[in-house]
Amino acid sequence: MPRSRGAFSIRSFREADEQVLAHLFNEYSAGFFGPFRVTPQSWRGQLQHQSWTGPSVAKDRECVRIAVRGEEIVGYAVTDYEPIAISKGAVIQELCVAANEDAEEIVDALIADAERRALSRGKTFITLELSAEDGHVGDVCERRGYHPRPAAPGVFMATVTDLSALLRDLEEELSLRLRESESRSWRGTIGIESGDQSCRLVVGEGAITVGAEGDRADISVSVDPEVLPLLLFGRTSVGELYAEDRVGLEAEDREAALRLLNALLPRVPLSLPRAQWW
Amino acid sequence: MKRKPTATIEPKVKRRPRWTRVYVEADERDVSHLLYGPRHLRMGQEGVVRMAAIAGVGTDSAFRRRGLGRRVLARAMEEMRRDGYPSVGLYTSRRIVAHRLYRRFGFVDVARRVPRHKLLDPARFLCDALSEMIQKSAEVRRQRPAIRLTVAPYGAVAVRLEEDDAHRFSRTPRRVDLSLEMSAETFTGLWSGDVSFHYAETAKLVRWTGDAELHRLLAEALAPWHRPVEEE
Repeated sequence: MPRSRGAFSIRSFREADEQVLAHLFNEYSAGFFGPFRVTPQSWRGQLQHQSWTGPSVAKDRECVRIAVRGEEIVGYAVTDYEPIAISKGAVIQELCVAANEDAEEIVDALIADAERRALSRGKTFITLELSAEDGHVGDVCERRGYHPRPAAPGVFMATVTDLSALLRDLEEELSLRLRESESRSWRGTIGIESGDQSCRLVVGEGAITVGAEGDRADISVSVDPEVLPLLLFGRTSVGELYAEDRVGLEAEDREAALRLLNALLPRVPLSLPRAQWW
Repeated sequence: MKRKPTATIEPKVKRRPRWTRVYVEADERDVSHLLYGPRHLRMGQEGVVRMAAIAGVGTDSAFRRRGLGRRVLARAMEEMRRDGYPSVGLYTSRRIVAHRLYRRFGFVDVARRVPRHKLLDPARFLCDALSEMIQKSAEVRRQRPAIRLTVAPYGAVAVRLEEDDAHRFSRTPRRVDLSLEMSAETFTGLWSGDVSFHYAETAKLVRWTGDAELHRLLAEALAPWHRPVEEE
């Protein structure tokens, strides 16, 4: 439930903030694919050392700015004012806000604050290294005159080396998606095949587990290996692939199968915080 | 005669608590290597994806084009499977040749970084960019022209090389010899090296007015203004 609005202000970082900031980061990251869960120590660790991935809070306390309403922390931004190899620019690399009614205003204020500070340090441009899928950030950026660089070469690549093990990692998440869907009462088996990998999901009692290979599955899904990571990491959904004829589907009731599969493997927003790049 | 470097082709593996190093040695040193270590990426509300994170990929320039990177990656993939990682991920650039190698090993582009830029001091930024452009051509520098650059919606700036110093520019020339105009998108693409000046010219993304000979010289100097494919 979003918290009520009220006046907020922006202040400098204090050592005692770490606990709340780590909590805020974890809360903000829930629902995304990509971020690691942080502890106060690991959150601080991300900012401890100057590296190509970000600033050092030890050297520059102003790289972290905190939005507060009264005593309550409602958001923060991390900006690298001395990015390696970019002498004339600054990089906003992390921005998290609590679920507030005025979250967009807080995002706007944190970005405006970083812009002012960058300008006062003689920087001629500022770069936002945040996912376009990061909540309110996209809309605010557009309003504030940021231009995307669609042809930028940076890319995150991945491959699935063990389909069964990956789906075992995702059993809890898949079960949650099942319970929250219209297909929660569905029972049966789903077979997934991709190249030389295959796996069987057993669905029932509102839970999903990876089962042993067996007889013909009630629903059979086949995808190319180059599509598999996109599907499992939430970059596309079964429905989208089906519409593009990029997924093979065998089921007695295709509509019901698609409803179930779309609930289990939907698009998931992505966030790869710069401080967590490796 | 200089001895041709020799490489022990079979990659070796050195395990450390945080990172495992896979490498090929030659002349008693590492000439091709990568690191991998564990990461736990969140997936939705409850999921955590175990991933082997590949980093620190590189091959000594004297040992490139011999398939060493491919062998190191193949060995690393075997090790990562043996270690029980269900997935493998890495950050890279689509401009480097290794991107093709990763694709051959089944990696796909899961997410592209789309940084967003804003000019905080457009006049100063454009002046710096224009000065940099002029300095790319010795012939243009010799002529000491005054050039105007207009980027919508940032505005226009004009610079002229000072008579006495090749690295000083006047920012308020009385007359302009050559003007060029482009959109913010084109400017961002050129400045960041995502598109070449030759492409921008061909696609008519840049509009020129003024001295035709100066235009030719500057366009010629700027044509290869892009980052070439790099080797990692």
